[in-house]
Amino acid sequence: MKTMNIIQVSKRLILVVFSLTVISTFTSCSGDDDGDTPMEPDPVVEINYGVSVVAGSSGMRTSYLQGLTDLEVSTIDNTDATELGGFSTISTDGKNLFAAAFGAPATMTKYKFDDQGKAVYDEAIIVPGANSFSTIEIVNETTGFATVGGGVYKVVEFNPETMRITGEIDISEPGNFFYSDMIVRDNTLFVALNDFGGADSSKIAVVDLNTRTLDKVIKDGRTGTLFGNLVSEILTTDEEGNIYVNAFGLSQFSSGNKPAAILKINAGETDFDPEYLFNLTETTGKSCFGVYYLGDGMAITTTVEDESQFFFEPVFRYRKINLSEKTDLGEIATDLPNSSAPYFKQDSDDEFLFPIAGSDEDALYRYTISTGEVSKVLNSTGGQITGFVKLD
Amino acid sequence: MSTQKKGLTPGILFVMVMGFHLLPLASYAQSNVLGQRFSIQIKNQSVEEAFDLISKKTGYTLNYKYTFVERTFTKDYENERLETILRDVWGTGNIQITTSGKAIKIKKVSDTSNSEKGTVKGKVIDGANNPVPFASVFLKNTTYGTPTDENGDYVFAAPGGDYKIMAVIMGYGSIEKTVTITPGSTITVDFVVREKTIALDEVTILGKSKATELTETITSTVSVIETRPINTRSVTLTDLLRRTPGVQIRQSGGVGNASTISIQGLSGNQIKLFVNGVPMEFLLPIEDLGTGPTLATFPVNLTKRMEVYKGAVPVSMGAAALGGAINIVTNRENYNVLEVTTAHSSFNTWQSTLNARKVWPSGFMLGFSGGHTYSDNDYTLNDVVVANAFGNPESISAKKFHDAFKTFTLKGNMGFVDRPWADYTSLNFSYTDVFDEIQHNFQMRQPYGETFRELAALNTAFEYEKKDFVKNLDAKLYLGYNKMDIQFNDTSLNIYDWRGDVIGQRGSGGEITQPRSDIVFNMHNKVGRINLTYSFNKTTKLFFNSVTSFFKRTGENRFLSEGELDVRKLPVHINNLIGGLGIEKKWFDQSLVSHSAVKVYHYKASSHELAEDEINTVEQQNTFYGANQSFSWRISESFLGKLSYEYGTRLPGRLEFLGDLSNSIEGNPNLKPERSHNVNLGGQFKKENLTLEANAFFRHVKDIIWIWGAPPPVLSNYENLFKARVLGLEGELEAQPLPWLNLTLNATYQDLRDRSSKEASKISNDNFYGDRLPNRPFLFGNGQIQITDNDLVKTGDELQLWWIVQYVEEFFRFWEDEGRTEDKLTVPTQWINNLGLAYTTAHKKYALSLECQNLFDQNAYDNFRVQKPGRSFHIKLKVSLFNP
Repeated sequence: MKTMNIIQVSKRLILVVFSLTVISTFTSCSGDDDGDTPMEPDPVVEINYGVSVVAGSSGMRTSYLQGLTDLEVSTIDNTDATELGGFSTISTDGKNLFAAAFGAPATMTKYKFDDQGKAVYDEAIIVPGANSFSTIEIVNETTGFATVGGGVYKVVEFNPETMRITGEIDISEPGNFFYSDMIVRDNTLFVALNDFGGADSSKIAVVDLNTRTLDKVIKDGRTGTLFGNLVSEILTTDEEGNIYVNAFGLSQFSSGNKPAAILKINAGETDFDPEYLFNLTETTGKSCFGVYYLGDGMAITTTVEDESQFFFEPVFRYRKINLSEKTDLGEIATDLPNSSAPYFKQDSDDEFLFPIAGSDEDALYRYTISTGEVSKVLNSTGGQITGFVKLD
Repeated sequence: MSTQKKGLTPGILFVMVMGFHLLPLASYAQSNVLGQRFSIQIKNQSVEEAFDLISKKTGYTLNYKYTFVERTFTKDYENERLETILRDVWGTGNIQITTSGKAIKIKKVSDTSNSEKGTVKGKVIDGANNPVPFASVFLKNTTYGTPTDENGDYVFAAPGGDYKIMAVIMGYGSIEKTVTITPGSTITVDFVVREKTIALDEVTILGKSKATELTETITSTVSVIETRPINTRSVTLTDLLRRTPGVQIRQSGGVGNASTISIQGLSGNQIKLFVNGVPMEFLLPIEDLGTGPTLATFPVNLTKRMEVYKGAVPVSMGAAALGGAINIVTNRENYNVLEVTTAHSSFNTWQSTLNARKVWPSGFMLGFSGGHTYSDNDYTLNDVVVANAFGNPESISAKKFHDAFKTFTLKGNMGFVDRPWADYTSLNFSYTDVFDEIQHNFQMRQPYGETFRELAALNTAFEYEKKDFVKNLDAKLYLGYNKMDIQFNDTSLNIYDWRGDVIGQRGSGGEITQPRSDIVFNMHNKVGRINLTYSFNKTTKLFFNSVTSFFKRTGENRFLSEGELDVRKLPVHINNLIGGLGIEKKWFDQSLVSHSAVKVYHYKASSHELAEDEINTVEQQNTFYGANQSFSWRISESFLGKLSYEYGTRLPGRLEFLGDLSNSIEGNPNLKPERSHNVNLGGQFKKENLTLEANAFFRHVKDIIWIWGAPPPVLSNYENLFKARVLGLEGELEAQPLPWLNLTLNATYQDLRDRSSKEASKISNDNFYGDRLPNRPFLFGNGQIQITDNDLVKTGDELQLWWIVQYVEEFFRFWEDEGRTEDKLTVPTQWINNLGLAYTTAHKKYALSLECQNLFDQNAYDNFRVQKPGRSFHIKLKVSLFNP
């Protein structure tokens, strides 16, 4: 009798198991009838600009990559953009996009544009243990340098074409620093160091690219720490090879007693020019963040309208300065709204493009050097334009 | 908990009232005391009330332990013998009455007087296979019978012969079977009863399961999960919550890993956890430790049930919950228990519990319990990334190597039960220790190899409960002192890959924090809770609940250099006062019940902030209010409707308004509480072997607190930013189409939409207004098929087989309307299947269960594709060395 019960229960169980498995399998399968109708190939889409947009609300933000054929569009959105996880910005080698997203491990991902103009994953480089890439400097198609944040004190040398790490340069000697920006001049790599005001001075690691070693750390106490991020530039060069260095003097990083200023490393030299100090705080009356060289001694910086909201609200205004004369030439357009995350990118000999990430608009604007004219290029309804690059 | 209705079958009434009263009594010695005569009028009083009345009238103290079903009794005694009165009130079964001075002791005794008798035993279960305690099982037209015990079991002796045996239970109905009893032998007769209301004229017996009782008596939407019916299985509270309609658990891994509870769309801090009605945050540092490790300190076998309140939260839950609460009710038997369980599962997981309790006839009780859980959590991750020689990511499968979790809890209590001066009073202590390794960051991209956290919590408490503390006033009191120490250690410079190898070293900073940290916090908390219920009459009750707590915290970062400023060393004080007043009113023959409540939340806090190397004291004090209104309507015998509204409030958490004192999060004294309008409308249909429940819910949440981050050393802070709206529907079907087959199916659809302004979101347009919130499941459900067979190997044993399916529909990790559809990042649709069996011997002395979870080894995810364990095997042994 017991045996019969066991058999009956077993039968029931098998039936139930079988039914559930069938139902589960059935419902978890999707149709695979894609049809066999041959598709006409789409025309090849030429991509000349790469854009990264950070979109989102309610604290949930992520990035989207897309390519543009030209700038003859009034509006862009993310409908046909490639979704990345996290907050990203982009660099370029002239052909491809290199997206660096915030979050460990530090990851730089190369995207190519396919025939339909879509940004598609090609390869990535990761640096385990590091929080994110903090600076990327692509010198040419086969040489790039990058630094990471999170206590990993090295410059990573990589090949943008193959996306392989080709070497590392130890820059741990200065100790606990973040890296704010890099620039290569001649055969020297200058890495701006940021200690968030710990030493109340500006410091740059000078790397000899012949020997791939840290040559020295130069220091200037006339202004504060060198703060920057992946989007902004605080190191720039002029036609002669002079390097201008922006220390923005945010009081949170300098105990409020160091001005925003621009320092200079003269062409052929690797030390700060003790004779040169462009005191931006004194000249503009405010802290200034970033320096973008226009030519003929002219540059763009941004003033910080409210230091307490530096990381949170649109507080930046674009301003033209004369590096040679150490003079303030005023805002490039007084009717422009404040922006977050400012940067200036060259589009042609006479034109630069820059974003407005404002309270009421996200847009890309054009600045014409010769006329001083500022005009809107396009609106982004998908969110803040965190990266914009021109492709060859 | 008693009601009176008319219409009971006369035969049943006769048997119940008369038969039990006349059950054969052993010949006990009569004393002069028991022969004294008294005139007493008992009218609609419970046994306890009647005995109290007798005690007052006679001047004798009555010592007894009445473990039968609650019932009411009415009779006028005119010059009656005291013994007769006592036996009448007691009602059923053999009792022994002895006297000692001014004390009378009543003790239940077994009937062993007749060797000519045979034994009848069995079990009464309901349609969901839950044991039905306190059902009356008796032989028709005889005086032989007994109630079932807490486990639904019964046993009694009766002379040989052919009989009709009946099981009768209020709310379920009656079942009759024919049996033949042979002297000297034992027969087993089990009953499966359907819920149905039957009432007695004079005696009302309640036999509903606690789950049913709570579901039907609480006017707001509640799900009650009783752990006893499934405590033979290798399950955790997290598993059980996950199978509850409207509830989502977002777990980042295995045993003890971080998890977030969502109830009808609201989640995280918006959901409050309680232990026996006391906010869990006062007992364990849940804000510091997280929900996952905290829940893991409550093994299923040391808990009795979980009450999941959705929307309106009862006044008795004294905390500012925005839209839901979970009350974990731990074991508190008032009978002798000795139970041991041990379980072993894949990934070197061990779980053991011990539960022992002794209750002496004097009512004195002594209890001890302990639980231990350990897991390596070393399951295989199928898609993690390591860097090759060129820095390119390569996907590999690797076992987790730094995710061990260990906790043990020791609990003890001593006190009295069922005394005239206290229904329950106890001195409690518990010690909980948690050790938790942290394996990876929140998106499971960066492995950690050495970071861990540890907790030690000592809880001491005094509890007192008494019905009719004064006339018509029930009182509960809790006084507790808790000490909690927590450590977070992140001091390693090593960089690990997913293989567990050290592949480099950082120059500074820990695996998670910058700079490295070895932070300890010492917390002290004094808590008082008083809960009063005053019954004006049978239709009107007034509820009052108040919780007061005094919290103090100091700490330090032990990794800081000497001389470095550490504001953690400065004390933080937070004092809370949370009060609630509610009134319950019943209309229309008590079929319509209204519950109205107002709540007040007051806090006073002092902390410190570091500004330009100077320490400033920050003090805050605020008072907020909340209210709810709920109705339940017994529309028919089969249908119960519920409607509730709550204006919910969640006070900013410690971290949110005081900062974390670690130089990364700044306190924000201007934070407002989160507010929510919560509406629930639902109904429950019960018919025979079918229960169908459906609930619609609406939430409108504003001032959602969110951290707005900045890179250190700039301080991030929390702000009141967002708004959200939730609309949803949940339903559950329970059926027993065949006596051996139980089916359960539930599903939840929740539509969470952004309602934030562009200003709050810090964006330039309203593109996302109205969009579905990302990274949140919107459709999920569970199904279970359970087969039960008895007398498989031996009479009285039980075999359970179950198949559980968990389903989550694919959802987007980011905003659904952004990006190319075909390439969007998603968490894929998941079907997770569990298959298990449990065999329980007769008398429930031994139980052995085997289970395979995630049978088909599917990849399972909750958050951002953080992978959960694959297929795992579980074995559990439960030994009840002593049961009531």
